[in-house]
Amino acid sequence: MKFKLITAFILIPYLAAAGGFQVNLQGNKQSGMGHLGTSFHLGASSTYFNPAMMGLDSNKFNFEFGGFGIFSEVAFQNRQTGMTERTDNPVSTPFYFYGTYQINDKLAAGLGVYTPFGSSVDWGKDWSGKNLIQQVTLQAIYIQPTLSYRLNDKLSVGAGLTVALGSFEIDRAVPAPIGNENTVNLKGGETGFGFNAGLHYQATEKFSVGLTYRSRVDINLEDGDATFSMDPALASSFPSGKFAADLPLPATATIGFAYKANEKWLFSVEGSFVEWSAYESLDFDFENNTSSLEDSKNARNYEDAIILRVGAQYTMSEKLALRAGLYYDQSPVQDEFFNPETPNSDNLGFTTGLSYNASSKFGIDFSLLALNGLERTSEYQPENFGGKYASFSIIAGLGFNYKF
Amino acid sequence: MKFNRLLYILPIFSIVACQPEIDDIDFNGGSADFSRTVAVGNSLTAGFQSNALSLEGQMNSLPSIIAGQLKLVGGGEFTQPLLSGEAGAKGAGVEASLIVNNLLLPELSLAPSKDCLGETSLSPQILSAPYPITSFLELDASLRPFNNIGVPGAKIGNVTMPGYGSSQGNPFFARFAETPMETMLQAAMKTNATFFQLWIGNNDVLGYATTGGNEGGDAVTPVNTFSSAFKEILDSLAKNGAKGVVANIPDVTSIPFFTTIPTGVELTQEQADQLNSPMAYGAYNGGLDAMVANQALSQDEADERKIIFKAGLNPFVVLDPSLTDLTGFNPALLSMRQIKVGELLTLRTPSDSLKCARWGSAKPIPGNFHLTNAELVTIKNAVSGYNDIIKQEAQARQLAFVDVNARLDELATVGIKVSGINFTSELVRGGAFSLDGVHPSTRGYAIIANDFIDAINKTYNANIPKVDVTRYPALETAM
Repeated sequence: MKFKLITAFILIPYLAAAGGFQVNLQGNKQSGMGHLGTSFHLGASSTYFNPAMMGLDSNKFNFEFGGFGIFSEVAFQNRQTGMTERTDNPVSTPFYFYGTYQINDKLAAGLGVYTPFGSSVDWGKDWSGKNLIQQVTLQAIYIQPTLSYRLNDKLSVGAGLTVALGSFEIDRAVPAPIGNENTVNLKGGETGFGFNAGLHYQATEKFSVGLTYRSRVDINLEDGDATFSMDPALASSFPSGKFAADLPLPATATIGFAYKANEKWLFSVEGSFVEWSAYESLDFDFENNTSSLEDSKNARNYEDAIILRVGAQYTMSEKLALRAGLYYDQSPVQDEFFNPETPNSDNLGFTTGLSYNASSKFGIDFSLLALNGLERTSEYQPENFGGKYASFSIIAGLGFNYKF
Repeated sequence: MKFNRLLYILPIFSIVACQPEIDDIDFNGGSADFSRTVAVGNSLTAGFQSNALSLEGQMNSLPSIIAGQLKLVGGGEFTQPLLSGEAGAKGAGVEASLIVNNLLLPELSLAPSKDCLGETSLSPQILSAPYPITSFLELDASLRPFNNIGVPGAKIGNVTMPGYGSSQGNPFFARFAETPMETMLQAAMKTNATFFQLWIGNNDVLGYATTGGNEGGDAVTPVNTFSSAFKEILDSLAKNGAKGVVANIPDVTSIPFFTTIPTGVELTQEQADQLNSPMAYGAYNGGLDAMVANQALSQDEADERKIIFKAGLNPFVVLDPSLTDLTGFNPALLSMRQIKVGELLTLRTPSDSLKCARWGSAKPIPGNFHLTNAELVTIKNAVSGYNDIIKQEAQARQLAFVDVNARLDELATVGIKVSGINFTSELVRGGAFSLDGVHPSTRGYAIIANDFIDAINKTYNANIPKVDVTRYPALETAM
């Protein structure tokens, strides 16, 4: 059962549920309360949320795994024709797995597998922006071995190495002068490296602070496959072959505060800074250039963005905890460089969730999120294509935790 | 952002199928009434492409594209004198030597062809034989009055010329004129139009240009003649208070018909020496010096005419009848010189002759393929003269005005980006022109249609949606 679920999650791509193509769905407990979790411990998922907290568990072994279903749609109103077109995105399924082990009072080790970046957008083969993008699938699976250390009762630190398995596939029409069915498929995968470090400080019994920094990871693709499907008259001008491309997965710094008012109520706020300015351009360097097929340079010019979150947890009983939260996730995309490949508006997220502990060892976590991508009027200036965009997503998550 | 949607999602304990919504745009015609429209013009109004008028070309004609959008703001039916059968499918091209035998020429197609060097490349060509005119003459007369009075080849004077629709006139008009003596303008007035489109004047200078200027025998319409005719037409079209849109004339030198054929040839030192030798142009240059010594030729003209080749890129040699005729003194002293900077060759210049028969180097290129700088000045003066009048009249009559001249200049200099497609004025590769290098492609017409809609929106405070250029087909090969 577990194995089957995880396999399904890996095989099905998922859609960005946050700024740019970042996906902030790394734990069902946290996502139920606005995806907060930097400053307070909620189990093995701390491996991602703040590695410093891994040692705060009272059990020797802690496991969490789960996933989400994202049901999303983007609407676009073409500024020339005034007609509205909609994506037909597949249901996407980000997933996570965490395991931690308390080596001794001070030291804990853990492993996390999660999907912090991804996107799956399908505009159809024949929409008005087909020369920019028809469909895109992008995903990064991070594997993170991690250690944490408690310096004293109040202060702990933790860090992990991240190994990122990045892959993407893009289909778009080729605006060649002859023929009406010219397309290209660009596909590739590569591994990148980075780290995830955190610090946790329990200032008082009620008040705690967390800081994390997840580094930038560069996916430097060397041997992607470019497959052109062209009118016979142009086939020799657009040879299929290898291409190179670089995709940065940006760094994120987060600070969070938690306040445990009493045995029942926990409140928290967080702010993140995402260094999206790393994403300047998406360039495809084709191995076989011709007079018709030059390297493709596509300006992105993303700007750094912030995420603000607020959430609360109400512990009803030993068995049941209820959660709610909301967040504001700023789009890194400038109005002049808004490409429908990543149709990302400022998002308002409304979240709720609950955990049910069937026993002292086993629990189930649910979360439900509604994401409202605010309407914006934008264009991709380099290709003279624009209009109004708005998006909406419903995300449902299910997770399991087991400790002993 | 609609906050009322939050009412649905806040109690998010069940998955609600929510869709993002964007408010629909209020399309409207502003102060203009499009219930009855008429378009008056030439081949650019008729839907001419690739040297012919075909059914597909008519379906994608400029006024037809615009009419489709006007329908969204209350526009009425727009009928055209559509071709059918063989003429509709193959395209109807009219050439003097064939039409006298009641034959039409099919449109140009893009297909591989082998040149004199044995190299195969895609090039515009006519793939089937001339065919009888019968199907061309068929017409659904029940659709009268026609809203598209675009007649390929029409000059401004033809719009009000009785008999232009007779068998002695223009076959494109003769096939749909109600009577042989009906004028284009009279046919237009039968629609009782509330809104008109007028784009005329291109042929008043284009015929002169495409036939090589003075050598072709197709005169440029004087600006004064254009002015009075243009006003007369507008007076009629606007008589009943109709509103309208007018467009100006592109600079003919910005179209691929005049920019595709190179004006020079690469030579090696050896080839240059051979051409410069006393056996070749050395004799011509010496002959010119002798004429100067005999005071039969000015030194300035001799300098202009001397032909000297060097290693590298050399301007072609052309015949220029405006030079002093010296053949009476010496039949070998042809009126020839090398092409000057800015001068152009037309697309009709036989490229095999350039490649294999040494036209332009060993032999001069005939003047009917060549526009001299003096001829280009004549053309530019006419175009700017017409355009001044078109703009003045548009302003005086508060009509919408489309600056097609500026748009094609943009196309020729920097290109036009539309939804990811980069259009230029390059033949075939540029995407904006049909295979004849003069008329727009379907997508080219769609771009111009959007400019017309922009102008109408601006002048009449309307909000008519534009077309998605990417939905119009690109060129296809006939393979």
